[in-house]
Amino acid sequence: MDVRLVFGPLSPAAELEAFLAGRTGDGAVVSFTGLARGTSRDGSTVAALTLDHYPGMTERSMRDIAEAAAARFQVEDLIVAHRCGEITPGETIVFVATASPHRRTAFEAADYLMDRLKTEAAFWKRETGPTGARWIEPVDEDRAALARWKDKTP
Amino acid sequence: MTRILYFGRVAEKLGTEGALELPAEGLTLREIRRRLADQDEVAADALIRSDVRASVDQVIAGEDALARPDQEIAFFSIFSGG
Repeated sequence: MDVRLVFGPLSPAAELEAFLAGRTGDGAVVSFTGLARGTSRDGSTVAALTLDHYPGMTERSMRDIAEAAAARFQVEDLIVAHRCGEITPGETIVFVATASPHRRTAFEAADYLMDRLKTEAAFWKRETGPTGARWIEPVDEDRAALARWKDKTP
Repeated sequence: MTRILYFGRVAEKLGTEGALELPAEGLTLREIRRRLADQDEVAADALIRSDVRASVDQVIAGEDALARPDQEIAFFSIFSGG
């Protein structure tokens, strides 16, 4: 398991290549790349996204989520790499990959990881646009996505 | 003085840290919050909010939790998520 807070650029291609290297036991690897969007929910332009973190607490929140995914699904390995600091549109914010003998488990574990990271990871996020900076908090859609996992066993 | 850490909307208003004199036996988070808020109006506005949580030694704690001067105390707005 590789859980990392990343302070500079994050390359999903390099991460995936490293995750795949030498992997012979698993038949399925699923990866997800989250990119910073250039437009806000209301359609306004976003110049940059800034993610603040609490050193120690943020890493632990990511690790807790990763460990819960590993315990819940039959994944052999997983990676969670999440950026903090200032991120410009088009850049990768988060990269997640899961490896499993079977594809369904790998898909589900990656989906679960992202739903929990989007709502529960200890970050404070703000968008900077033409009218200044604005804090971003989880929306109902994110909470509904998370709730899907509450009463369901894989 | 004990260092108090701020994150998110709280840090936007108060900066990334503040300070408070704590007795050796500690104070509850409720009392720490009240004393910080008493320092000025900006602090009161930033801290006396139901969506501002607190942690002791990096573990989110309720208002009745006790924090001593040698512990790491933080106040922050709700997580944005990643």
